[in-house]
Amino acid sequence: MSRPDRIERFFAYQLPFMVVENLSEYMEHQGTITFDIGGSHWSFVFGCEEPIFPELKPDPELALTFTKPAFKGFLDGSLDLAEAVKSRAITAKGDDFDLLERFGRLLRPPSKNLGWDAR
Amino acid sequence: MARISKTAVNRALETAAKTLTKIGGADGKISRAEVKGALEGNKVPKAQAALVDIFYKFVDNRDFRAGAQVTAADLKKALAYAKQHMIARYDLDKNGLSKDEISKMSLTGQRAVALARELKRAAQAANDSE
Repeated sequence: MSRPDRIERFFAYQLPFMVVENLSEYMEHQGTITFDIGGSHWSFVFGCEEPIFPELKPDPELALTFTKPAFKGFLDGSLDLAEAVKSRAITAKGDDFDLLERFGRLLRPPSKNLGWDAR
Repeated sequence: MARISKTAVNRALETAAKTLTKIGGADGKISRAEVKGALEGNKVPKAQAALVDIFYKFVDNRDFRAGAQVTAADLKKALAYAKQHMIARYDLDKNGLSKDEISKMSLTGQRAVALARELKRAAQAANDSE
């Protein structure tokens, strides 16, 4: 079996893990963000039983497009975000930018103790 | 960050579902007002309160039956979905992220927030110039 590339690893493995770690942030919100990364398609859906789809869901609140180098630079921190937006290496359709902020907060260690050890 | 085991997540969700069923009482229906009252009246054990609140909102938002109250059957269904699709699918016990990966994800999260603000600024600038 071939090793997943950096983008696939992010969406298919790292992101779902962080969703489960941050269920409160995830379940509190509704909405869809789609990612078209140089033809690689992913959708992230808040507040449903299946957070990640390897396709573009219709009618997202925010549709993002990245060039592949831009997304890799975004993941590894080497990307100048302002320049990438200006040069249209990253574009957005829709105006629910707060949803993207919430997406960002999902990737942080959980701030709310959900009492996983409660009995 | 401590790693959460799949067993702990499943058990906590089951406990939250049981607590919500209790809150609903004998009629088998759980209303928003009942949940709010139980949480505000400290009738839910403190350690469970956050998850009970979130899990109820999750079931309520999922809209298993449009316009209907949340029932014990809805809770069961939501629990089964969460276990089958969210918890079981991602093997938390064996394939958890390393500490290093988690801290890298946190930085990616900060960049996503920064990107959201950059895109918002660009959209506002485009609107202003029209």
